[in-house]
Amino acid sequence: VTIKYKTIKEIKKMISQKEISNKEIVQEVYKLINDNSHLNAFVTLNEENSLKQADDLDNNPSEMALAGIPIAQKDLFCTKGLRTTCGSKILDNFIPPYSATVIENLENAGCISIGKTNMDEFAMGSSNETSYFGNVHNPWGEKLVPGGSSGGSASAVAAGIVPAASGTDTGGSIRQPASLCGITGLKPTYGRVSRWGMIAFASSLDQAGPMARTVEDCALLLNEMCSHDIKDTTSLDEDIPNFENDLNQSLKGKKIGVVKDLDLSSLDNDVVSVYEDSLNEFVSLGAELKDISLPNLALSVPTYYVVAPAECSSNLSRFDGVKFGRRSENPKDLEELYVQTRSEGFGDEVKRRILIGSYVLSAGYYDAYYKKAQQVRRLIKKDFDEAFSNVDVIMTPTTRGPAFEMGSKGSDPIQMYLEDLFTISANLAGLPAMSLPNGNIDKKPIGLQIIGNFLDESTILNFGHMYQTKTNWHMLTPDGVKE
Amino acid sequence: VDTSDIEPLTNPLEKTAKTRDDQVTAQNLKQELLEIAPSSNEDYFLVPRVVE
Repeated sequence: VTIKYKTIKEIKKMISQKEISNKEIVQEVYKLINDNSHLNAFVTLNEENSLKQADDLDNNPSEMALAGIPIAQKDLFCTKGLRTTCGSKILDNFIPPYSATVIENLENAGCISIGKTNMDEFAMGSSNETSYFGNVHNPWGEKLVPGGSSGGSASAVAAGIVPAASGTDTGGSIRQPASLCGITGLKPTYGRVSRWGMIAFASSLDQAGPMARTVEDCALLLNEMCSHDIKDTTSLDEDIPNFENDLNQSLKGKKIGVVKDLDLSSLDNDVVSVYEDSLNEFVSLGAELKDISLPNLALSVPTYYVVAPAECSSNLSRFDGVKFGRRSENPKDLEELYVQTRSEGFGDEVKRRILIGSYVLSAGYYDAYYKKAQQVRRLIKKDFDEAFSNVDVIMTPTTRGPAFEMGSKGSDPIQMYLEDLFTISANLAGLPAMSLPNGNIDKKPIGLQIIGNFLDESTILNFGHMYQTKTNWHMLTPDGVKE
Repeated sequence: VDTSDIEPLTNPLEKTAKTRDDQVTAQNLKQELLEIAPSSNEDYFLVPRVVE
């Protein structure tokens, strides 16, 4: 009996049929972490507590929705009493006095937080090469990046260590690593999941979401992650549906928007044919394709790289070496304390974005950059509003290609920024979007992106689940096809 | 792009913050917070001297 590569659904069944005890599950997870230590997916483990929780569950079986399900938490969520680094040297000694709302929600549903996953520093990166704690490796190939910023979470799920992980997505940080690691990941509507206790990168874009092996498992996790939280002023006070309810709805007559402004000519033929095969699969499920126009889509990347750094430069000013985190040694005065702490504590990519952000917000440049970007942001959102009056979902490739080699995009940050070309617009418009595996190129997985209308996670989950009932891309593992 | 009459979009929700009754809801975490600071005494965070 093993839980390697098992889904939440499968593990729940194993627990209820007493094929395995909660303690055996947790013990196997730590064995798998150990066997896969070369992936460098985890920064901090929570072994003692996890074993104790499993013991408690074995002694007092629970009816909670996710009782005993081991989950890896991205190291961006504050976890009470458990070190939270956000992939940065400046927080390498930070032990939060409270937990993020989303962590509490998952733990209240019975999840066992196994440990904290490695990530790009402050979620700034698309390859997990900016972490202070070292690169994460993709289980599909030693030299391949797992994507980022939720690279540790994606790698841990793809390697079959845990059935589920939490992630966060500011410009694609759930969907892009999901695509590169061959798993399913969902960024909910902005405001669906509380941001309280998440270490902020860009507050108007950040959103937490589930990463798992199947669409069905993402629905189970999303059911527990969402809540209206008065501690987050942007948390939505809207009805939260049971996301499992509509998974099996027929797709007959439903409309898929295909973006005609999308320039696929720069992509490899393999990537385009994988994408087109998926569209055809949906047609065979009864859905219809409809051309739509998103004329300002090409402006998403430049808009994002003004808005996100601007917000980050403001958010990261809280790291000053005074109240928590690391402080430089023996500063001669207060100014040197700030300067030295940040110079030593932040990595290059984080510094670059703080500089860009400070520049676009400075007097004299504010209107030309920051205000302009926010105006274009509205145009992008309007394009989506119009498109969704005619279609149920919009589909694009998630990434420009499968996983690339470490170091291959190192010298040119723009090449790395373009990695999020297809994913960024959903963050700018606040829309839910999911990536699910839809092909395999040179033994590397790749994903399809399904973007939904505001608050309409149920429809994208429905599309994704129906696709996974017809295809087995989600059953592929680095060890071959799952039984 | 022409954005002359376009209102900037600062947040996808465009909602104004809600008000609530003026009651204390936060816990006092003074001890816990001072303990995780790089340098503190029983009441304050400590930094190098600012005023000579």
